[in-house]
Amino acid sequence: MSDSHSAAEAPRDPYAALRVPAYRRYLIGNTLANIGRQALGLVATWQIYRWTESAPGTWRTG
Amino acid sequence: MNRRRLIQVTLGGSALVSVLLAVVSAWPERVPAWAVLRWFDAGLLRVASLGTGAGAVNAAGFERPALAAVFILLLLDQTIRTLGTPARASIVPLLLPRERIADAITWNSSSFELTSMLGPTIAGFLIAWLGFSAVYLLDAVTAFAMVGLLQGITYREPEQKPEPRTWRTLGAGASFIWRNKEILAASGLDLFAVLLGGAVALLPVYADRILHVGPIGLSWLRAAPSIGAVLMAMWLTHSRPMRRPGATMLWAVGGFGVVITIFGLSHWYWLSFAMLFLSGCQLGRLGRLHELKARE
Repeated sequence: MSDSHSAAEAPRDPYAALRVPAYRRYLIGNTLANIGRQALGLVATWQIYRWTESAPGTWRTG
Repeated sequence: MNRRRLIQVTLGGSALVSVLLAVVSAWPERVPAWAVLRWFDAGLLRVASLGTGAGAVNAAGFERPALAAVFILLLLDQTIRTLGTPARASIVPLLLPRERIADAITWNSSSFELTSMLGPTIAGFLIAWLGFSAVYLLDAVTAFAMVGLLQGITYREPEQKPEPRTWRTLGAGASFIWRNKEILAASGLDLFAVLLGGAVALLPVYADRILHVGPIGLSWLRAAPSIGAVLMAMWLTHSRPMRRPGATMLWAVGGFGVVITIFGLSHWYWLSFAMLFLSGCQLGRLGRLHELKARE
């Protein structure tokens, strides 16, 4: 962080948090991991529905 | 084990389970018919038949060892991931200077809203083009990406040493909510809304049997409430402050009930999509109220 003045006199800048490298890495990683998890939530319900409504032997993989 | 390590281990562990899920989903016929899997399948069938009677359920659909394997792996996957959740949330204030923490928390929640729109949508296309396994692999790859990004980051240790764990500290969160009646009321309403919103778990059934759409149509239905919530939050940010929060809250909850009921009756895809979108708008309104309450 390159903030030389104190927080009180610095103008409010919501993007300043993104200039902290450690937080930026966290936010990018967290966003990616959450995309994967949300995607998994959809596939789990759809897959289980498709499998349980069809006859065994007719394998659906998509 | 420190926080960063705990996050990395739980993410990595759950990602490995997701890889197993991809393998089982790609070659389900290769899963051996172990007794434990058949026993688990029988249990699933019994649960599925509760309240509907055995005749209403396609019992043959439950005769697959792969079905039980997917259930067990999903349980394991989410359990491992959840073990790291407290560390994942509590590391944020330690990454930045104190005056930036509030903004970072706002960024986190914006990012979460974004992912709840993007995640299901991407999943729908991946299922349609490549199959179930691709989505499990996406989950594994994104989790490993976070593990890599966290490698080498530094953060300060919390200044306050945690209190020793006692039954009293375990219950501290609950007693805080109990003492703050506004938060108690808002959380109660939330619980109620979530209970009503449980209908969303049935989305695959609505998509397939009632609205006759495939995984892509389903994925847009799943994303619709988040799209509504985000647009509502954006609109509220730029509009006048609410004058009567209590009345707004009741209208939001009532409106949610109405649109979910219409969704339940609808046989027309776009009407269903619109109702889920509006349900998200109502939740966005509630969320905004909570934020205002929290700032007071």
